[in-house]
Amino acid sequence: MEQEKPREAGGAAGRKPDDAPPPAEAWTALSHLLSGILLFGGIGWAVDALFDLRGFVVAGLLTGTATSMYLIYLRYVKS
Amino acid sequence: MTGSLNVVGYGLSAIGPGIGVGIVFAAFINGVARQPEARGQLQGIAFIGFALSEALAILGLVLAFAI
Amino acid sequence: MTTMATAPAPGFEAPGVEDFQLPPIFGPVTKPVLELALAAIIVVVLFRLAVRKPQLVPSKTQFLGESFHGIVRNSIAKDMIGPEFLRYVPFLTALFAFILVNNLFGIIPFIQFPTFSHPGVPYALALLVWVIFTVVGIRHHGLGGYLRISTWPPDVPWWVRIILTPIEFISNIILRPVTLSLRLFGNMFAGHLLLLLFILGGQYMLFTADSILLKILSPFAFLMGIVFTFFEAFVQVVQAYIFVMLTASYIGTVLADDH
Repeated sequence: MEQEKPREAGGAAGRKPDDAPPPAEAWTALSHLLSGILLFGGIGWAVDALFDLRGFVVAGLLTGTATSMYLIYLRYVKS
Repeated sequence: MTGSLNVVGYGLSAIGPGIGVGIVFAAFINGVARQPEARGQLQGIAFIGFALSEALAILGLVLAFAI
Repeated sequence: MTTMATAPAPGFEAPGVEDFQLPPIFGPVTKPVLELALAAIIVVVLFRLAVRKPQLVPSKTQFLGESFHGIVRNSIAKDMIGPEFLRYVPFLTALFAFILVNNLFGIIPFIQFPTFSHPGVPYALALLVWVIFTVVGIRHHGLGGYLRISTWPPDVPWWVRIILTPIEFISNIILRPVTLSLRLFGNMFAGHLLLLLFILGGQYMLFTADSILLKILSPFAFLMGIVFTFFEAFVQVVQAYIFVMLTASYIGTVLADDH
């Protein structure tokens, strides 16, 4: 049966790379989210500042959120 | 006493995502405790939920400085 | 508290960032610098004492040192890094001990200043961690392989990859050390500020304020200060643990073979 080895301590050779215990993974997901929002929000802010427009910050933030969540989906759900 | 009212607003708005993240991980722990073999599946769903509620907090943080 | 003191007594000034700018003791040396040196000495001396006369049936100091090392080896490094974890255990143990001693300085009487509440100190530690996991990754995979595993999302069409690769690059290479140090700094800073608020507020209520009601209520402020001191002790241990666990997790990620 499976119960011989605890699932959390499966640090031996058979461990998949994305199978680290949750706390570290959650911090990585947060960092992905932050970087997407910062990148696209920054682009939106730069467009606003350069061409004297409004609203691109919000559009960039939302795009960044969506992209980061897609990345998190790829990294943690699909694999 | 001086300061920005935006930051007070952000502090209030961060309560919601805080509760949300707590609920997501509480449900995740519950699920793993009840059914350890479903851990891999639950973990992905938990991260999507975590990211969704945490995104609100980060958006609030950015908008508190941007507007 | 400012609104309650209606009497001619001066209003309460909440502690702020300026309370963390300590005056230099001599030359450019300030209290955090001395604390860093003291922490290094404490860690080195304690571990030397622990392994001075290794015995099969360990003495008390040896037992303490070994169980500390055992926690880092079994519950952090082994889970996070994988099969080659033994090489990194000494570094992680030293890092854990150093951060723990520095954090606990925040609540030890007469020292009572957490070194990491100055942002520069955790930045330096995070830079060290960044250099180590980058070098480990490049030596294990080569430069191209290291960049590929940290910025190349698997199984997506090329136009999606154009959008996702910058995000992964920022997240994995730039933002990792920044969040690592900000987390430690933020916790230490906020915790020390909280303790300052309770103790200075209690002192103000007892000695400066005119209202007799505030004088009667002041023990509650001190009591909350004591309660939060114990809470801070918990937070400090947890933060040291999380810093080391994330370091181990980063090393484990760059050592992982493929996605």
